[in-house]
Amino acid sequence: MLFVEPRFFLFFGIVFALAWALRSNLWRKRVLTLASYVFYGAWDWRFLGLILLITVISYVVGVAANRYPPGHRTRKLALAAGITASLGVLGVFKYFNFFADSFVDFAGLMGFSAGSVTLNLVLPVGISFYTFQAISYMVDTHRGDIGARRSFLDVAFYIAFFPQLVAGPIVRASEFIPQMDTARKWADVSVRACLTLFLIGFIKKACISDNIAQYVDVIFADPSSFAASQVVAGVLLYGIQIYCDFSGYSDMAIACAGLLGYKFPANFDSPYLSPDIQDFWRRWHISLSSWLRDYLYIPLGGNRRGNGRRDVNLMTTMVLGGLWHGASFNFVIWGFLHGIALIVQRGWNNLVARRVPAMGLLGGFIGGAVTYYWVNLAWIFFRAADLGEALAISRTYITWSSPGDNVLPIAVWPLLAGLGLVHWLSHRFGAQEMIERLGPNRFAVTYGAMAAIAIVFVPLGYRPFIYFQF
Amino acid sequence: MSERGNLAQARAALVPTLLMVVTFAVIASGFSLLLRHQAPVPDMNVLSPKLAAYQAHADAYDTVFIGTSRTFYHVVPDEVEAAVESAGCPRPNVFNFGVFGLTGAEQDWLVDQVLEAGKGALRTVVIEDPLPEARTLDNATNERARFFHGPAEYKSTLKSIASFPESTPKKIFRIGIFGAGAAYDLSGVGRAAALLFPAPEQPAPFKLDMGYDGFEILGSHPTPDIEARRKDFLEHPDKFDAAMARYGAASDENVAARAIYLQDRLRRIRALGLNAALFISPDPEELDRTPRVGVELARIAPDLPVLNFNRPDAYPDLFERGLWFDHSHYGEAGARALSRVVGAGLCSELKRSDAGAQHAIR
Repeated sequence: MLFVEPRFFLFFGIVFALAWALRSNLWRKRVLTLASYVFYGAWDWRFLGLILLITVISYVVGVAANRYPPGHRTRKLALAAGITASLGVLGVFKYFNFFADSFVDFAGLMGFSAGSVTLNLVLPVGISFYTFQAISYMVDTHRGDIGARRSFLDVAFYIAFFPQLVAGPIVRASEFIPQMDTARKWADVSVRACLTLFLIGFIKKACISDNIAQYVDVIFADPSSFAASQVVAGVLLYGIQIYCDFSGYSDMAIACAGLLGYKFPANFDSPYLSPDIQDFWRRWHISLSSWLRDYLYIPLGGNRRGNGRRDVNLMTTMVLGGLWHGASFNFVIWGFLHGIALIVQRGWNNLVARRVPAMGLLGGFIGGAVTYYWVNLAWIFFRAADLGEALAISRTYITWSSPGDNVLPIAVWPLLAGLGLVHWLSHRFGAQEMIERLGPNRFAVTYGAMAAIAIVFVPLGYRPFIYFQF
Repeated sequence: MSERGNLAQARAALVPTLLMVVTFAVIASGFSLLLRHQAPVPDMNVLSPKLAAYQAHADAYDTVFIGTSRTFYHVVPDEVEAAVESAGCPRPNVFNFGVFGLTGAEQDWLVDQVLEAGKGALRTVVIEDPLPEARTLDNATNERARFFHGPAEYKSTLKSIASFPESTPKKIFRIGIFGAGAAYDLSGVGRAAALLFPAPEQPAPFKLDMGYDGFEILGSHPTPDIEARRKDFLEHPDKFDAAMARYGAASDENVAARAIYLQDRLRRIRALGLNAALFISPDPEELDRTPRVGVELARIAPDLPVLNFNRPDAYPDLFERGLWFDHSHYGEAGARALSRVVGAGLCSELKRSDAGAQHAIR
């Protein structure tokens, strides 16, 4: 069930009406948890057991945190066991085949022969997201940031709440769980803001991402048959596709949660307008990057143990962040490229930037262009089916040469320029806020018109969200 | 919040909500109607290749059969031509314009296309009683249905649904599905996307072997659906017997409106100086309906030719089980046997008909 499908609108309409019709907070949580399980079961009901298992593990760790004081051995053991078990489930479903195949390949390189063992497993939708949410609950209760819940329902609701269940944002337990304690009030819901955000997300996903996806697909399927300008444009189109796809989903998720009275943190903040790579990671998939910072980079030592150790920690975090997306060396390389960029930027900041005068707007523009170029280079590895394809496309992207001469049936460069301009204008002038501020009747007319225009740009047939696979 | 507060909130939301819905409906339907004219005629299985072939060679055909899969798989042009000649009429050149699942609006549109392309050469148009509107949302929102769900086709579709001999609840259900299909089209979904973001690789257009002038032997190009129908026919002979038993049984489905509906269409063709006839194919699954429509049409319009073969008492040989591929379509032998009878019947009707005598098929 996708946020852009008519059946989701029907589902949400029913859940919305039921949730607000109930006055009891307990019953609302029950209904929303049940609805979340129905939502997840619509993909594959067999994986409901998996989400329930992760919930039980989290709940038990929370109970241990309640029962034993900080520093107690059992409390630590429970946390370690809980995280290990959750990552174990994730590992079996997502990484077993990758590591088994890598081991066989490595043994082959060393001159040993090892039999291949692979598991024929379907990757459960959103497993990486709800596993990280579960870890967030376990760590936050262990640290004492929030009190562990006595109610199993609360933990189940937190982990399964359907707007963020399959593709985030990764909502921290400490951010979400306190919201459960009181019945949400309709008066606190910013309806216009939520509706606007949902429509913006819908436009990003259905009108932009889904339309350009077909061009990205043909270019990545056979890059050598296309002219270099088209391959480069195809890479940039993919950068736009994945941004609109993922941030569109996040917008819709935040809007749906908001309409039900719950606040989610922002997940994107116009990342392609970042003047440097560090800023990019403050604005791209914010919930994951801050999760990795707080639960991985800082526990590893962060930047507290010298520059060398900081760079190692940074690279470890980025590579593991890449691996979080999928079991493939392409994702590892994607993380590595971002790690390199972050390390280079820190070096630049320490060694060069301090000694030369600030270049102001021009500096920001040059930095932004370099960042955009590098981010898109990394996207090639994220999108390509295998390493060979990624290297072939990267070569064209860097050298601007290709043996092919095919061109796309659209004016791709004006399209890119137009999308870039709309992105900048919307960020610069706060299009979302402008619409939200309209009076009720003007808002209604503007919204109806925007929705009507959006509908004619929705291509027929649905494409799943890219981040569902993660 | 108090009940009074809730009521006030609901009232305050009512006007903006209505404004939003009306704005959406006006702008979306405006875009849809505007962009509909820019959209090309979609490539439709069977229909498109047949139309292209007919338009390319319209001057070669003087007789066209337009209808459903009963025409597509049952009318063998060569057999009809030979039978017409054997019966003492000049040999015609027949084109089979049978399209599976042909609805009333589609048939009206096809007749228009044929009349336009066939000017000069066309002498005889034989139509079938078309199917009413689709019964599933998928069938009402696919590309073909969407093409025929434009405002220009509303009247034709509603007339077809209203006149079809079936119960009122079924008609209401069909109107509901049609309404959903029309609303889907009016929403304009995908119209601008298709124009501004053309597919980088166009799918291969539908093709059809036109060596038989539009006829195809059922099962010669098996699909999962066709295979399933065949399997069901072989495994459930009782269904065939049950269908045959329905012939002549009492029915409360009113066929008068349908006969008038068909009469209007036939008279329109005749008004252009062409021969027009209604073809009712043998179809065990329709034994309780189409024969009665034919009888009613013959009663109210005795001057209009009705080739009514869905009558086991008059044509027992056409209902031998071995001739059938599935519960409502012939295999090759059945199609050839029927086509011979159709040719003889057509000649007989043409001899009787004023228009036929006047035009004396070339």
